[in-house]
Parts: sequence; structure tokens; C-alpha cells
Amino acid sequence: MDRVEVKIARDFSRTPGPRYIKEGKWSGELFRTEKFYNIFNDAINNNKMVVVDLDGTLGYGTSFLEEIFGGLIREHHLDYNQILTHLEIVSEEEPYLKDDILAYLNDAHEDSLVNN
Amino acid sequence: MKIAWSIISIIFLLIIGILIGKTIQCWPIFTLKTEIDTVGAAISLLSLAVTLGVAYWVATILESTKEANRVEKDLFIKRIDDIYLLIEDTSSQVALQQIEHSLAVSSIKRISVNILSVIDTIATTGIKVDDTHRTNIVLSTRSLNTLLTSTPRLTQQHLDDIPLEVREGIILMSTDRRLQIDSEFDKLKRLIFTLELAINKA
Repeated sequence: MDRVEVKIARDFSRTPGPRYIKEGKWSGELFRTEKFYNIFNDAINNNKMVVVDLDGTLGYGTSFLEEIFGGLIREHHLDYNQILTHLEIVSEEEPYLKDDILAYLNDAHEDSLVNN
Repeated sequence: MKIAWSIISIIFLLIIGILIGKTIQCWPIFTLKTEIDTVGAAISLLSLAVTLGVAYWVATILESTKEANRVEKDLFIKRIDDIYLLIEDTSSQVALQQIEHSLAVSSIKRISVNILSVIDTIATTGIKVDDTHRTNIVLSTRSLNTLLTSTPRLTQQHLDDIPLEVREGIILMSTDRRLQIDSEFDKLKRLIFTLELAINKA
């Protein structure tokens, strides 16, 4: 499987911000709508692996990460299992973020099941 | 004058020695052997050599290892004290019930990364510290990050009592949320103090 690397510190910002665009600069919503969804959708359609590198930023708010990952299911209706198949997370500085992200995806998936 | 005193002292000590020798010769409970037990003497010499060797090992090698260990422990504790100051600084910013989003996330990351780096470095030395310290500190910093930066989604924003919101990059929080955060900061400080005690005792 081909790999597409997304390094948030390099490809978006070293200072990721809040959840929504209206809340402040470099929001999760901005990243998801302008970059992340397109990259992920393309990866699923062309059977590529998206490697998300979280290192190198000044830190992540919980809402930023929830919005970019949970938002793929909630707002763009991407398939939960497809996301898991095409996602690899790199986080040497804060290894526990991997578990957090998997929990956000799972919560968004369960919410989508309840709402549908 | 000094030389005269030295001569007098030597003569005095010689007289005392002669007197003690004569007393031992005359004393009935003491018997002096005039032959030498060579095997016994060799064992005694060996025993003396071993005793001197152990004394040297305790005095130099063991003590220097202990000293190096103490210096390492002090360095780790000093490093943790610096992180403790960062926690206090962030905690006092939160007390105002508003803090810049970028400052909040970067402070929490610095606290987390620095404390984990110290714990990982400790693991590379001979100092043994229980893994539960690391686990509890990670849980506490994750909890702090969530309390400080988890804002509601659009569907949740109709709630009257929103604990936390971000406006123009500034986190604004309710009093209840601030108290929760204060409590978590206190917990983290306790955990760090416990870690310092564990390093000191190790």
C-alpha cells in the first residue's frame, strides 16, 4: 500500500488551535475541511495509507484532534473501518495521543450508529 | 624546646613499654609462646589483607558509587522541581478563569514531555522507580488537557451551562470547570512530589 505522510507541524501549523474556525486560528475544522478530508478520501479511494505525524507542534487541544478525526465520520460520513484500515499515527513525543484518537473515532462511529 | 619535649616523650613511652612488658611476663594469666606458628601467621596475614581490601572497597568504590548515585538523584529532583514551577505557573494562569489556547496546550505538552523524559532517563540509570508513577502522571496530564481544551461540539452548544468555550483564541471557563482544573493540578503536584520522594528513597 502506498503511503501519504501528513505532518501537522509542517503541513498545517506548529500551533494547532481550537475546534472551530470561529473560535480562533489554525482550528481543527480548518485543517479537516481544507486538507485532511481530501487527503483521506483520496487515500481510501486509491488504497493508500495515511501516516499522520503528530510530533513537532507546541501541543494539541483535545477538541482539535477530536474535530479532525471524529469529524471525518460525523461531517464527511467516511466509513469507520475504512479509516482504521488506512490510518497510521506517529507520535513519539506524546504516545498516548494514539489511544485518544482511536477513542474519538470510536465515539464518532457509535454516535453515527445511534443517529442513523 | 620542641626537640627536648620529643626526647622526653620517647623516653617516657619506652619506660611505659618496658613496664608493661615486665608486667605481662610476671602476670600469671598471660603466657607467651616463644615459637612462631607459620600456618596460623599466614592465615592471619591473609585475613588482615582481606580485611584491608574490604575496608578499601567500602571506603573508596562503594562510597564513590553512593556519592555518584546521590548526585544523580539530586539532578533528577532539581529537574522535576523546574517542571513543578511550570505547573504552578500554568495553574496560576488558570486561576484567572481565562488563558490563551496556545499557551494552555503548549504548557500541558511541556509538562507532559518533560516529566516523561525525566522518568525515562531515570530508567536508564540504576535508580529504580515504580512504573505506577509514570502511569499516574500520564493519566493526570491527559485529564488536565481534556479539562482545559475539550470544547463542546455544535450539537452540544445549546446547553445552558457550557463549562468551557474558546473566543478569539482565549479559553473561557466556568467556575465549576476552573475548580475541577485546580483539583487536577493539585493531584498532579502530589504525584510529582511522590515521585521525588521515590527517587530520593531509591
